[in-house]
Amino acid sequence: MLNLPSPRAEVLDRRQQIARDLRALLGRDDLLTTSANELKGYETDGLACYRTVPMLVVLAEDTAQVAAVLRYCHDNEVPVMARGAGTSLAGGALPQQDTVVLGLSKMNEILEVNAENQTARVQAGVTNRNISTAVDDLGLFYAPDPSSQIACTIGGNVAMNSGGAHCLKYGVTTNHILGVTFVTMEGEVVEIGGEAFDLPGYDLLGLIVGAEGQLGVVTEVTVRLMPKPEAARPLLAGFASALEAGACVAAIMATGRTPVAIEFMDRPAILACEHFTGAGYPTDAQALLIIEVEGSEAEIETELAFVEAMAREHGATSISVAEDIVSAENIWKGRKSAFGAIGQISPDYLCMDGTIPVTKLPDVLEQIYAIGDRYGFEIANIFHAGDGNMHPLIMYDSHQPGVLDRVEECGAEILRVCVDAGGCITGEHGVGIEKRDHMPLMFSPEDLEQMKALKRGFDPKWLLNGGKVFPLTETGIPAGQIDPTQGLH
Amino acid sequence: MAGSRATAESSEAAADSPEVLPETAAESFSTPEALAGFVRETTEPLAFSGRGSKAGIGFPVEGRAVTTSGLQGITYFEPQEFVLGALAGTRLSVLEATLAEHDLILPFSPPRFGGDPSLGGVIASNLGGAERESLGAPRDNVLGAQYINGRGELLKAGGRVVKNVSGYDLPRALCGSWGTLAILTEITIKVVPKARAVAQDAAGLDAVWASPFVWRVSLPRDRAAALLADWNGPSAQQWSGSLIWLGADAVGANDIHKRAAALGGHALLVQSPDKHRREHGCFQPLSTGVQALQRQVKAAFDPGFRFNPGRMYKDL
Repeated sequence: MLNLPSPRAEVLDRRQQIARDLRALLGRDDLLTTSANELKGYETDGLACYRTVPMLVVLAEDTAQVAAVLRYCHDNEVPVMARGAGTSLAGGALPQQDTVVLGLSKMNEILEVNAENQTARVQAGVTNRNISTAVDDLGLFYAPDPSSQIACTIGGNVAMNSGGAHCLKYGVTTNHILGVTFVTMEGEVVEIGGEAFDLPGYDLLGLIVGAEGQLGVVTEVTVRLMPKPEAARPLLAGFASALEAGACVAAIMATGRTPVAIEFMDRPAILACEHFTGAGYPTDAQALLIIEVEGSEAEIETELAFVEAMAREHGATSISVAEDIVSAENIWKGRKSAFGAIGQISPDYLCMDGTIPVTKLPDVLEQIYAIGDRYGFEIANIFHAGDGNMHPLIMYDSHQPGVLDRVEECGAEILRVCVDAGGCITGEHGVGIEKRDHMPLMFSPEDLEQMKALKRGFDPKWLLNGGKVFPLTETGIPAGQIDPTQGLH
Repeated sequence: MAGSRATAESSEAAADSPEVLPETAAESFSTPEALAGFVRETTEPLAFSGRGSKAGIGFPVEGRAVTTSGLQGITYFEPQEFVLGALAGTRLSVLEATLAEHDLILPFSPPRFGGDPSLGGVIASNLGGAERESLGAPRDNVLGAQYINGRGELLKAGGRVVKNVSGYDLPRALCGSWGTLAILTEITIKVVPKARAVAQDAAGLDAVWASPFVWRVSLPRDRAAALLADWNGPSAQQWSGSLIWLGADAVGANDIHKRAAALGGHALLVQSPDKHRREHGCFQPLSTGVQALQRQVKAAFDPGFRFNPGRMYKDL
């Protein structure tokens, strides 16, 4: 189990006063949650093995309220954390006992769509999917598509620089954000960027996107929209071994003819998804690739023929092409329900997110299976293979005493393999608390200190979403907080 | 050869010719470690440049001149992974020649200002070329960086894979900082197949570059017409109209900055007489809120405010 920072007793002692102050500040009762029952709804996120009931929850309705709450927390030294839909798989939305959760789910309006500029201005609590739905009839869509896109919010996507299956072609969140309304820990509201490409001055958007909500709170976002392709069609290819499928991915990518998505599932994942959704996956295959191509009908035909030839060359045992929209949606439904499907066959699982160079896929897969065998865990592999972003799911039963420690050790070994292969510890989920202690696999203390210096610049008291991203010191407090020169004053 | 449009042919020719460094009295180093040591051992302001192709942009910097042009060479190249790493002083023409052997290209073709810019300079200035809409700006294609901060520490951020959210995205934060936050010493970028090349032509650019003042204006696409409506000088457009180049014989620096801001965009004065540049600078004025955030970022990377002081803005 990871060490969580100890709550500040002196903050917990002030709980009643803080609740009164926030109520007065907001001028209403209904935005503040204090009942134990309701607070429990905010105790965890997509990393459900860690749970901590927060001190209070505020559900903000506008930027001014967010600014007022942050200013209050800053002036009164109260830890605070913004939360969207709470779908983080890395514990990015895990509160601490002394935390005020600043929920943004009520800020769910699409403020403006500009079809000519291909941009939309939305509030942070709008779900990822709702952006695409709102602009669908204009022939546009918002490209980054995390598997949780029905629930996850654009604010959370910005915080974690989220990816998704179709990011292989279109890029991740940071490539699609043009502007934000950013509220600093001191409660200043700053407009950064706008509707035009690129920023004058420093690339503050580049810094804020992916900073895991530690530098400030984003309340509105201007996203870039993309023209919808004329059509898209996935192909399913089954293989007799995961290694052959991995080699096929590497070979397709090496040609430079990038499909819009290449998704990989191994046998445990295929069986679970097929059982769960009846997507029509080949249950006799050891590995499955979903390869999607898009464009005009002629382009689709050409690319599908190419992909099919590559798959056959690498020993595909079955190939089927979606013939219509219904079968295409069915194929994707299976993939996007994968985590839920694994949840049906295993009481618990831990989802890893390491990324590796694509040419190393077959080799790394073999090592992952060996690690799973050594620890005695079954591992299902479901991942965005085209860009090397792996999601090994380590299945376990949390009722076994001490099992989580072993699961986390197993996960750490997998991440080490990814880093040794030239990759990284997280491709799209973020560090959160889950991979906090693995950051030294990639970065020296000095590298991390540079990131912490930025954090201190924006939030000198480490009040905003603390206890994450950086390894905790032995005292259980973020190391940056006890820096004698720049820490608490 | 007018301004920005070095052709593929001239780049390849440059790659074959012997390396001639710009004439300068600047301190030069052949390794990142040596440059980091120099930063640690000095205390005065440092004026960094790469190969100097963009020396005409920004306020002149007062400080000891240091060039990264001695940091040469490709350090990592995996054609099958579409990833390339090189030391910051490596010329674009050198990278392009190596990539061409594998039918690959750089995913960005920034304005070259008649020179053969270094990779570090291109990343530090983050000026996207004709392919900005489809392939992104330089910042969209940076995967990792080794850099030296104001304390002279040689650090790294990011990595060598396309998807990476391990910690804050510092490589991107350094893009477009014009050497005022850190010195990039080695950069890892994504490269793309030649088939994805975008035509570089923009009608009218030669006439724009023949003017003493040249503005590069990024606007929301639907406001471009408003800017051009009353513009009498030469102009050119890229990015489906949202990048506008304006050439002028004489213009107050603030006019186009103000107009661009009013239209929801921003402008950079990329060519101007030295006297004008000294007085007015080139970069888009910013809101007080953004200025405050920029100073925080500056202080975190370069607490002594020694790196390229005042090049972009007087307070950075």
